Amino acid sequence: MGTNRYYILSIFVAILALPLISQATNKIGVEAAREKSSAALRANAERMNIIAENIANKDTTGIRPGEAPYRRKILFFGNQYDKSVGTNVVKVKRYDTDKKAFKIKYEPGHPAANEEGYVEYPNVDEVIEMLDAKETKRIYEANLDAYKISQAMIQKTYEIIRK
Amino acid sequence: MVDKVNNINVTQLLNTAMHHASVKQEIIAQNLAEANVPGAFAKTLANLDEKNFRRPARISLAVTSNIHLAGSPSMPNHSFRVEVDRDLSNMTPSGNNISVIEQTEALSRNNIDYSIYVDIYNKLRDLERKAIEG
Repeated sequence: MGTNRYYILSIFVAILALPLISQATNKIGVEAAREKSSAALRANAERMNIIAENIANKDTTGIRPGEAPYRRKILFFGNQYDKSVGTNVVKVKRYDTDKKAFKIKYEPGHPAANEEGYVEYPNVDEVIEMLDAKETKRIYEANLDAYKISQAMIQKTYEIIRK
Repeated sequence: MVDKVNNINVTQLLNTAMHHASVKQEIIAQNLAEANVPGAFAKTLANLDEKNFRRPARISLAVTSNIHLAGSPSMPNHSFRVEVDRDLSNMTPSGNNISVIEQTEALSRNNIDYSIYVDIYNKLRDLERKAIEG
């Protein structure tokens, strides 16, 4: 009976302490900046991954007549509250495929050629992918700089406390 | 004017300036993170002015017993104004006006400012230490 009472009491205390715990994990200022940059790095790395996948599959056709080739993948970023870091961060919100029409080439000998001899090729444009890759790289580097600077600022602050 | 200068507490001034730089860093990091998010607008933090330095600290609840729960953390009560940049000159077709170059420049400038504040703070503490030690 006594154990049950302590059990109920501990649950009650835990419920009361929850808002305090969540407040403690909320980050502001430089620490939040570091988490935001870190999340942006992950998101941009994922974007680069998708771009690499698109480029790698630019010639991936079907292997039987009428079979669809590889369809270009795209992703969308969005701002979301992340409980684990206690601030709003950029994350990959959604993955989708490009609805643009496939390229068509006349290759009668191809196993995926239709009755008229045409083969559907992926709707991947190499130039667009390369430009996307360049943009992603630039933004990744900028976020990496922001991460390094935030880290340096945190260290400087700790040095003040340590002195 | 001299009265105004005398009323400024240097430590409080540095505290405010460092907090401002810290919040600015967060905003710049957010802008850079959203550099390829469709529809995102760049945000800037209003510059420090006299009001920021003279604002009194928030009165927090006193903890007079071990069983009391502390109120909100003792953060300085600095409310800096965040402004949304509505400039359309950098607008991309996806409706994003964040310029990576501008943000990177702001990032470097903010880092330099923060380093200066930390240096002054350290020098001030060295001075105090020397004054005490003799």
